[in-house]
Amino acid sequence: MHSRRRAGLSGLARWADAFSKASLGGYLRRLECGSIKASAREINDPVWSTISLSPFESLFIDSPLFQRLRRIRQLGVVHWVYPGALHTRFEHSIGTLHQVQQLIDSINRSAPGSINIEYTTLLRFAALCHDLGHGSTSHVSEKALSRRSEVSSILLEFGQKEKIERPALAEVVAYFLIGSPAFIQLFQYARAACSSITPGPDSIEQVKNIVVGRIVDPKMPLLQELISGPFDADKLDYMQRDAFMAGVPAITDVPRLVRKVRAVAVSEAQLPKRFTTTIESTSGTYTLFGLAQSGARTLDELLIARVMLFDKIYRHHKVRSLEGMVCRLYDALCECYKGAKYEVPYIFSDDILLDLQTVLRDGRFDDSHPSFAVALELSSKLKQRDTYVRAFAFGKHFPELQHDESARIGMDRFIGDVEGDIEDNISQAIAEEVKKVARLLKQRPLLKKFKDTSLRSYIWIDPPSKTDHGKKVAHALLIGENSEIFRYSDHSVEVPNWSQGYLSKKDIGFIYCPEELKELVFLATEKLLAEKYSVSALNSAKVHFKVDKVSISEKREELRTKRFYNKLAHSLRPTPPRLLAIDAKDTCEAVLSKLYGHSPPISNPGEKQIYPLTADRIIRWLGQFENNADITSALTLIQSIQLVGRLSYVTAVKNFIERNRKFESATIVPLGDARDSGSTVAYLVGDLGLNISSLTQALDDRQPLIFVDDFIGSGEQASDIVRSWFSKSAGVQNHEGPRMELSPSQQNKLRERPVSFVFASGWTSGAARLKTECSDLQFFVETDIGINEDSVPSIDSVADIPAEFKERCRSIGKQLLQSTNRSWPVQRYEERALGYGNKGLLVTFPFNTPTQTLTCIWSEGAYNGFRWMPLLPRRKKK
Amino acid sequence: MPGRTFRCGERFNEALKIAYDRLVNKTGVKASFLIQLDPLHGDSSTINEGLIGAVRRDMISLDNPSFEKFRLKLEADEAEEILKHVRGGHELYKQLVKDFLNEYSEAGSAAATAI
Repeated sequence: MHSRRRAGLSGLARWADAFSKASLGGYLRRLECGSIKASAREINDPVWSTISLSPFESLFIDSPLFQRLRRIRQLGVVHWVYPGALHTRFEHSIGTLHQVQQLIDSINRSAPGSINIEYTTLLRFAALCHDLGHGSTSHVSEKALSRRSEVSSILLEFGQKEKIERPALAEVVAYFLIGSPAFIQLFQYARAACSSITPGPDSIEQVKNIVVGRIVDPKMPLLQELISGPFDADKLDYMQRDAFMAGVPAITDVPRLVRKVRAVAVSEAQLPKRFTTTIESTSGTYTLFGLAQSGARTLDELLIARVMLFDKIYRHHKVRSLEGMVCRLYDALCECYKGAKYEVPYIFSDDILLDLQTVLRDGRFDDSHPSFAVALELSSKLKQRDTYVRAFAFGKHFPELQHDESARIGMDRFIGDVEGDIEDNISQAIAEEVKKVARLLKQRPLLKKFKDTSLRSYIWIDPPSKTDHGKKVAHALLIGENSEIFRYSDHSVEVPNWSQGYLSKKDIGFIYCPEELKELVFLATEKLLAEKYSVSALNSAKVHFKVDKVSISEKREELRTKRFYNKLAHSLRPTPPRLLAIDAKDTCEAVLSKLYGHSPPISNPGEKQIYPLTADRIIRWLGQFENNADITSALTLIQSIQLVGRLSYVTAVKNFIERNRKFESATIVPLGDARDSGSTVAYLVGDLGLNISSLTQALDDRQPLIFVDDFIGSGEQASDIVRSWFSKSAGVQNHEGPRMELSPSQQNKLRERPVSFVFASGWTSGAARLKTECSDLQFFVETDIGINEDSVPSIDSVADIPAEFKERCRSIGKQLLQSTNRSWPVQRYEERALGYGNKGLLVTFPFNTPTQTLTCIWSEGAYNGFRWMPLLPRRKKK
Repeated sequence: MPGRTFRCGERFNEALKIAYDRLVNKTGVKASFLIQLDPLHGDSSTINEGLIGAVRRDMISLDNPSFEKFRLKLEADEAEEILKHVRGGHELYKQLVKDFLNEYSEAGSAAATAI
């Protein structure tokens, strides 16, 4: 029944004809010779009790094409999780017939004669036919096959031709089976054999239309929706049946919903506006079906029940794992099948799919193809319920993503890529990483036990669902007491969207694999997400799957030593084990507390998220050091960083005045221009109650002056400022434009009063140089430093800092300066690798960090080719 | 344009359908999906699921209480970043958006005139 020449939609149609003929051939011969007698029967159903079937329906049900449905489970793989859910498409189809009869009876009770006997038999027949096109494992095989381009292109072709948006494979196959010559013959024989009422002669085309959801009768535009619509017989049966068989409570009051179904005759003018764009104008009235307004609540229940079924059964994580395995099994079977791939689900029943060992060797499959052995392996695994497990979880709503824009965009891209990954590129990429990880961890023998050497068959990525849960139900019409019509979606706006929102937020993506590969797949996926999508450390996702933290941590460390993570930016590398120790977090919290009030510069005023210093930022900075010994040293080092802030500024000036009473009524003047840090210091020193003024204003009175600034290093910059006042600038390189000059009279005024320079911190040699420079200008001043070099911490003053770590800091600093100041003379990188003056200070100010501080603390740039994140960023000079 | 709102009703669906058809017909792009509006209800599963995907991906939020309006949450730089990685190139998508917005606003003007 397979042929290499069949392709495209016409190939599928021809195959359906052949499949139908092969299935029905013997049965048709028996019907023809009259050996089968038609008789009505009653079937006992566990959900709906007694179901009556007409002779025509009995004949049809007994046909091999319908009996095939006994061997196709309604829920595919769910019975491996809910053992009772063994029901098949067979009983569901009969249940759908029963439910459509209930709907018809209810409609006719409220509006007698609305659905006549011809349409009744038609709808009953359509109910029996609606699932005829399912292959083994129902929607699971459909999902597996639809991922293959040769099948998806056929579905697209059918959709374009028949103007159906998203035809499912089972619908398309049913459509062609029903239209096949053998099926038509069955229909005709069955009609001829039955003296009772049977579907009309046009029923074949009508059933085909109903199966794909097309309007059957413009005068009754919602007739087909009794089979597939907002409150259709299909849904009313499967929701109750699935819940009942799985042993899960069902909350929909189906009998009440059915009782509330109504028919209403309306004129053309009363039709909903949208209907008038589709339905041709005819004389007379139209019949619409809806629910009595008083029954709207049963639709709410229907939606809520559907949410529960999705949450508990259809999207159960183990069900999704089994579906993934079955999809991979179909992938392997399709690869080695000689005919058209869409035929594969129609070759086996569900049970035979688990026992392929003998069945596969019938010539239809290429047993020399590598996928043949993979199919047998997966079939055997399923039979033993050796299922795939969750190795990774992903989604858009994890808390870590909320404050990390690049990770949020990266995760978005990942989900989008997974959804559109028909070629399975992402599974393949993870598989390649798994091989690398296995090689580095010397676990390659583990991989040899798997038949698929590409490993792709053992990795299944199941993204979060985007199934439309509420819209179809929201299409329902409600009918008021005076036959007025309105939409359920207008009456109950919240429930359809609430149910959708609940599942959208709750449903997350998983990556499944065999238990033995779990840790390798986790490590491989973690790396892939960091490298390609800038997503790292989804710690909150780890509650959704089980990996041994200690084992993963050990493996990460081993991989780190083997440079597995070296291509990743530091921030994307896994947290080093040293930083997972309890004392690391405690130390970071203590440092955070010590530096409270530090407010780093905003590098990009447009940025949405301004990152203050946080424990997490400290951890990330520390994580940039490459080994545990350096991280330990860095932890020690940062505890000595001193924030020279408001208190230090005020104290420095206060102490100076106490020692120099002539400055009690001094005016505070910021050293330098408005752009310099002296302005901020002067403002804060204002806490002492002294006047604060600019230099030019201060010169207008006769008060002593105290110039203030936060730091003095070599004294070069401060000296240059003073020389500028006296028009004697020595031309110190100044990136920020010319300095202020004073007029001769202002210079005299400055020389005539007591003047002091007070720095919150700095070097005494710098202050001494400043004093000398001033003397040379006949400008006699006092200088003072609040915290001098004896008290300012530096890398050399911290105990237990090994020389190797200092060298590491020097190397990092040099690279950072080289990457950010490309035009410097070579010597300057060496001179400033540990900060300006190479003293490696450990000091910062509330709004900036001086260049004298250890370079790797404040500088951005690149280290070993990757972006370095500074701990205390410094404002960039223009 | 974050904060911009759309009403996900017939106008929205029709404008998107026209933009999609124009893209497919004009550029010969072989899309792997169809947009076919439901003849009776005027909506589309493809569009609905696209919107659900966008909510789930935090690109839009549906507004209470009617959930018929949605609000764009995507910042321009985020959109640009996403566009860098889309299949078929970003120009295609920009054209699609342009056509959609033209149709959507024209449909809005027509509706306003009708009222």
